[in-house]
Amino acid sequence: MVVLHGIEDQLSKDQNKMKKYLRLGATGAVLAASLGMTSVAHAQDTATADAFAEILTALQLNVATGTSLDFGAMVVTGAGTVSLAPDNTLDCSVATIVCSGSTGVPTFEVAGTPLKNVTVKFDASSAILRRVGGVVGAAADELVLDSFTSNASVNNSGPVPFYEVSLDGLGDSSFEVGGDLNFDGSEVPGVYQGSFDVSVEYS
Amino acid sequence: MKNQLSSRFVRSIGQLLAITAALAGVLVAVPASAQGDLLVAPTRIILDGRRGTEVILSNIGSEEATYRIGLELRRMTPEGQLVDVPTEEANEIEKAALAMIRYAPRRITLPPGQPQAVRISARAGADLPDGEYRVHMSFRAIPQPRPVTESTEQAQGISIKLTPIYGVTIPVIVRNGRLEATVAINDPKIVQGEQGPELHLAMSRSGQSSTYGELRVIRAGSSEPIYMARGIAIYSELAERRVAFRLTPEEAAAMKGQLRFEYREMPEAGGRLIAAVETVLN
Repeated sequence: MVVLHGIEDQLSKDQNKMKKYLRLGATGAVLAASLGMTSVAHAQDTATADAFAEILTALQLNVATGTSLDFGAMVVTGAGTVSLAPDNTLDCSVATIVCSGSTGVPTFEVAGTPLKNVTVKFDASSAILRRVGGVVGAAADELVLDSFTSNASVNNSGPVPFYEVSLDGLGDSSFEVGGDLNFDGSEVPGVYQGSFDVSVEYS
Repeated sequence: MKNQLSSRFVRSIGQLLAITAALAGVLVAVPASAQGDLLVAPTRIILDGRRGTEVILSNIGSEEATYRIGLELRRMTPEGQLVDVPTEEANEIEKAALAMIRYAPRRITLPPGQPQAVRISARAGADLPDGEYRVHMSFRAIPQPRPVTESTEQAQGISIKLTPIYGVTIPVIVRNGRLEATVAINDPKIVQGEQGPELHLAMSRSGQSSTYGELRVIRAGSSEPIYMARGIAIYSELAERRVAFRLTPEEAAAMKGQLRFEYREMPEAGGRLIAAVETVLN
């Protein structure tokens, strides 16, 4: 019964949300006109019953304000790996690297169809970070970020496990991302820059 | 037809405005570091090869962002994972799908809060075999280079500046001809997973069309579902889709006795029953 009420509550919240959106129908028509769309005479259609469905069809992805993948500062005297878990736990136990400063992980927020599962994918298994002002291809100016991990749930029901987020009754979910920094010991001090890819795949 | 399209468009815009309005208050005050936040609507597109439609892309971040829009191929595994298919490994159906979809623009720069429509259509040739053709449209922010100055305080160590490049993909499905699909639900059961109870079941699919809908678990004598999972796609490359849903202990406890499992089209698509099975779980 608890579950049943949960779903009902959720649906009624969604209905309320719908009303909020419906009130904006007329404004929507104005914006549509400004975008150069030709037919805006049917804004009243927004008030039909199937509008309930339409509000469920947007997909949003954003990084929570102020969050980023940040390993802090490191002094490197030899080869080693520093790991940052999705819960922002830093493993800097290797003797050749001294870590300092605060660390952080990015929070990705997804909003979409309530009660839907969505695949989360890292498009590449590793990323090369280069020192600002360094030479491309020089080992002393590069290091590798890999072993991306996430606290999105792992679907391991098949032969190949994969990350999945389950959108809740409001259509919301979020996940954090961590990874490993691999040093060969030759890196010179400086700021290393790079990027990593995250995809949310809707079915 | 035009009425339908425009009303759908207006509804999407209404929704965008609501979200934008909701965010505006927050974002004005806080200097954000994230760049490339985005909203896409609708989340799946069905084309019949004749008329086109639009997808709305909106910058919901707090900075101007440039987005690249592309077409990619994915295949679904029985477990529901969408796996990337490199173009050189595409089969004939996938190649035909890539060839027939037209869209514009392919690159959009948007100030914060600004939506724009991406027009999309499919040009199905007269000799195109009946069937379902699918690509996945990707929306991804292109990071803008940021100047980094080496601060003197960090000159003794190494620090890292990482930019997440993130985006979404949504399916674009072209249906050519009258397509049908039949689905059967098999073997629903509660399984003890590593992190607690899970509902497992398989859905076998035959025919040329994919299906999309929601799973409802209903107790005998009741009309309200005790469990729902929505937005379950079974694409046309799959003969069987196996789902596994984590349950709370309460949900697992409620899923006992005489139960009816239904796979229905989404309410917005009419809610038609696609498959159902009645069974007893202990």
